[in-house]
Amino acid sequence: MTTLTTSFVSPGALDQVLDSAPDVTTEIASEQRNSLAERFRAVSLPSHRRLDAWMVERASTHVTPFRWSPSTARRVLGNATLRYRLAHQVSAMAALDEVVVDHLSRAATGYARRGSLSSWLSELSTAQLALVTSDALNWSHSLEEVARSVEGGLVEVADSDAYYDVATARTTLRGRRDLLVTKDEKRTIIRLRSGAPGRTAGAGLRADLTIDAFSRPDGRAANQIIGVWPDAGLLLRVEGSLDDIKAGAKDLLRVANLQHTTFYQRPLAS
Amino acid sequence: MTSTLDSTTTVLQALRGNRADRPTPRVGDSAILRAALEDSLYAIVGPQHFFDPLVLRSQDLRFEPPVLAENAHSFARVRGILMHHALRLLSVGYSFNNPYEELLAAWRCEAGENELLAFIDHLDGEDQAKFATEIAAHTTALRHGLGAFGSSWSLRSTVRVANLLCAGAVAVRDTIDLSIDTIGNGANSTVLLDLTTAPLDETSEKTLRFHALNQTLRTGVTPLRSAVLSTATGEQIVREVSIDLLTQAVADVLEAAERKCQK
Repeated sequence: MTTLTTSFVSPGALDQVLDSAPDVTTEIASEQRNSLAERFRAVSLPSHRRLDAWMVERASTHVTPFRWSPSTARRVLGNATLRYRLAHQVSAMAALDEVVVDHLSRAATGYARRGSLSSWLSELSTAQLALVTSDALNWSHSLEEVARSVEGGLVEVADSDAYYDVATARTTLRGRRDLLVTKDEKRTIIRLRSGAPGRTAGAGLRADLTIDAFSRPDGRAANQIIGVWPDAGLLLRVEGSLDDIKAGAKDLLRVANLQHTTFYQRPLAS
Repeated sequence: MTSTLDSTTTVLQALRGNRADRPTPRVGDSAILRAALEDSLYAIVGPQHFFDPLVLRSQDLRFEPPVLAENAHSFARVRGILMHHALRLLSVGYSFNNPYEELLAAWRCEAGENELLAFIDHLDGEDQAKFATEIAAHTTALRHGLGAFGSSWSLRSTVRVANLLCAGAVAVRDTIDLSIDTIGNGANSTVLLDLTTAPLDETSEKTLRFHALNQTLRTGVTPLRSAVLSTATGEQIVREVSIDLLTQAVADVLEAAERKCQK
């Protein structure tokens, strides 16, 4: 049985949820890793694929191809901004300037891949760059507000998302994480989301929790994952129990299975 | 409705007020308002909306939508979008050389190609020039009406709100053009701004209240002030957010829900 709890955003609400993290920490054993790999291999595709929580949430609907835009760039830039701001104690605007300049210099020196964020930013006009900046600042402020609302404990902006390569299944799992909170030896992953949570929001959080656990060499799952939807003023929490992790893995496998079925049922090109 | 056309006080000065006079944040209003809304809304919408939520937006607060010619409607929409983009750019310290071209480029980068951009692209030279002049005038009015941003302010432009009520049977959606507060400050410093390219009217007060209500429900903290600025006339309305103002906003939402359900 999975454990999904909801509460309204208010001063102190996040702290309450953090304090109620379960004491038990789940560990992924190597048999479980092997079992997951075996199942993914059974539904592999000829090419490499990457699965994430977004695909779990949108499994049955058409996902439009990715393109960079101010709204798709804001999370990467906003998180990097807050990380820089907390490390160097500068204003959010100054931190964002540093982050953007870093991307632009990467593109100018030829270190940016085609289609990467750095290369996209380098093609923008000043007005377009200002719009990207404005969206990234919004994200950074919202994340900072969440980070500052945590009383006590260690709050870090995640250095990167969690990645797990499923052995010989040509599959990479990507788990998004924005803040990592350690309080009373309990680890919590916080994800900042926009809009309002839909019916599959819990499944998305579960997938992120599962991928994070598999990506860690020690296989220790976080005690809980909290999704914060500031637009809707809602917090959703999934506990890091074995049942939740199993359910998360099943959701990811369901997407892989769906892709496999769709690929092999398509008509052959003449 | 009392609006001010005051060239000495910018809307940001009026919104932020005197730092020393700021009260401590009010946190009790949200639960009261949510309860009041949910009780009355459930009676209005009934159980039939559980799988198809009733969506309420600020435009639903109007009794009748404004009647405009098809072209005028497109121009008004584009003008509104470009001014919102102008506010977003100004909030990060951008200074315009050619507002029309720069705002169009910014919009294109965000939205990709769409019907309204195609409408603008197909205008003849004279219409383009007229519209560009109009946009430049609105941008100047916006810059003067806003005033300067403080370096310690935490600015958020185009804040989207989606408050789900009655277990998701009603979704109250809103976009607050600008929200300003000061991170880490103990006093209540959150202020909200709505931007309109039309002259202010009775609905402006409703919009201002609607933003305050949505912000209260979303964050659990009542904002300090809420304002509307017109780039057409330079007028502004600034209101302190009191429980009376929020109660009135609840009444506006209920009235809009009733009207929408009757349709």
